[in-house]
Amino acid sequence: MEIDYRKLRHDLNSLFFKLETSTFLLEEETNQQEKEKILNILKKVEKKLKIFLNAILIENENFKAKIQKINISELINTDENVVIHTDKGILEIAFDILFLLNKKENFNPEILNNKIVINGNFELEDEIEKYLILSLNKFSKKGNLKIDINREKAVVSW
Amino acid sequence: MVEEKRILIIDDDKDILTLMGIQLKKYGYQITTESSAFKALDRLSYENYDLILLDQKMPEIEGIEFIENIKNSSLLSHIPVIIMTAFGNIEDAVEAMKKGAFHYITKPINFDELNLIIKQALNFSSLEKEVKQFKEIFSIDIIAESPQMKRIVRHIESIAPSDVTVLITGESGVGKEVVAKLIHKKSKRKNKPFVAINCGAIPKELLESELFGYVKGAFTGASSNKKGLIEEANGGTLFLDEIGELPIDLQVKLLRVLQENEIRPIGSNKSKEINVRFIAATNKNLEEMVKKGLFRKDLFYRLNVIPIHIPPLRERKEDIVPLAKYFIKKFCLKYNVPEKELTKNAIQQLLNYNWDGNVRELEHMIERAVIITNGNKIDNVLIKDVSNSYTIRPYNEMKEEFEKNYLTNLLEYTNFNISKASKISGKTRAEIYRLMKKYNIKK
Repeated sequence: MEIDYRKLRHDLNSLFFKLETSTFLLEEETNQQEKEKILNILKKVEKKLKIFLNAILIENENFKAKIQKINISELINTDENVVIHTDKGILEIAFDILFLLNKKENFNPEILNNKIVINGNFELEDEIEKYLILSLNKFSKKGNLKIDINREKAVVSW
Repeated sequence: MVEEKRILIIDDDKDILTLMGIQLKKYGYQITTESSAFKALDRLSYENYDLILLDQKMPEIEGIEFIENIKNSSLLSHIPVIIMTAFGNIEDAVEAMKKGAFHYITKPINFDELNLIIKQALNFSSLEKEVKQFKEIFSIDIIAESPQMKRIVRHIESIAPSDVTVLITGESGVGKEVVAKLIHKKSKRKNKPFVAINCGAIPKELLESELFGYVKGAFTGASSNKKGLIEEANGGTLFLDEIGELPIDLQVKLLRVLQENEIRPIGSNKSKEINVRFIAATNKNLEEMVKKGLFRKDLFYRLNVIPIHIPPLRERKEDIVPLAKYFIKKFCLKYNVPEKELTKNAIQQLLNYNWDGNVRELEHMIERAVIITNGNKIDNVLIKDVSNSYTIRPYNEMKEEFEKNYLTNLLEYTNFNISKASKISGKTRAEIYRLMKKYNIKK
């Protein structure tokens, strides 16, 4: 998978365009239904930008993974008492990305002995999402994680 | 009410579609969005749009290919397309314009700039549409649905190519000049002038100089040579309407022109050879006039080589509705209003009416109906009847009543758009404001 940097720049510009237009429209006279639609777009844009900026930070060569014991219930709403030895920052971003990429409303991970399977629809929307997957693959190695993702499911193992 | 223009926005990014939809609705457009180019093409096959806003980079089909599809379709090629480009790739945008896109706009989009381009595109497209409609309207030679008129058209086809003189008879307003023009158009003289003169509308004293022209010094005030209408028509056709009104002395002169194919301008001692086809028309009974000595027998026979009688409209009812529909198109175009339809009631009115003023009366009646009718259905065509039911009162009183009613209808129709009201009525904006004040008409 190769990144088309021109397209990546376009998709990022598009995010800023959405931000700018949404803000502009909220200042204008908009009805409740329109407001809700705009706010949903803003939430998506905010999330994507936040994760993108975090992913860039993690990719920085000076980043040193701090391996520690993390209970999976701290990150996912689950009663399972599963512990992963990895960098907490990386794991947080990995899940953020998987949440974002999963186009289903519900995020129900299946927690097994040494892996978590997330069934969903991981069809990529733009170059930013492609970039996030590439980042995910790069920095997961630093956190002792293995992340396999295809159109139908994602598997995080350790 | 001003008709909302329909815009179809096509972009694979649904959020952008939502935001653009919200914003462009605020400018007063009716918006439909589509995130798939294929679905958009399908939608275009059953829905009408005034403009397409298209993302240049689509996953299924490139913008350029999409434009080719649109421009190759006879049903869609009139819709202007604006390309939205985001890659800073002006070459692609230029290529899209070569393929028929109206314009392009770069992302992130400046909405004011986009609205300006949309307005330009819609104006251009509506001008193009008007030109097409004008061409359609003016390419119609004659409306002939009745067997009588179809027979006349066939007759015209056979006699037009020769130079034979034609005498058209029929009641006032039946369309004698239309028939004369059709004969000219079907003849080998079609690229030469068609000159018409109404012999009854020009004062007797001027008629001779109008027809034959004069040379400098022929009479007081003749400061230079002037060509007559017969000479103006040289190579083409001269249509002499209301020939029965031609004074006897001019009848002699005209007869000579017909016999000798030459004219002599007033004050000149030289004759000029001419090559003109003569078509005359009258609503009078020339044979009766000949009997009474009011029209020269020899001229009558010279003109009446091919007689064409156009029956009155009441005797050819099959032509009434097609003519009415043609006039509706013509006047909707003239007054820049959306096309209107006749209701069953209106059609019945048309068919039951006697049409003493023939096609001319029908034309005027439809013009009035187009101006006065709100909405797109004409239900009452015989508006003349309404005005006839008024009691006769002092002129100024009735004039004021008309002005007030006219203005009220006009302003309601234009939704108080003074510029549009001014354009339709032919009155200046200031005059309209003055009348509104005079009759206390407020929105």
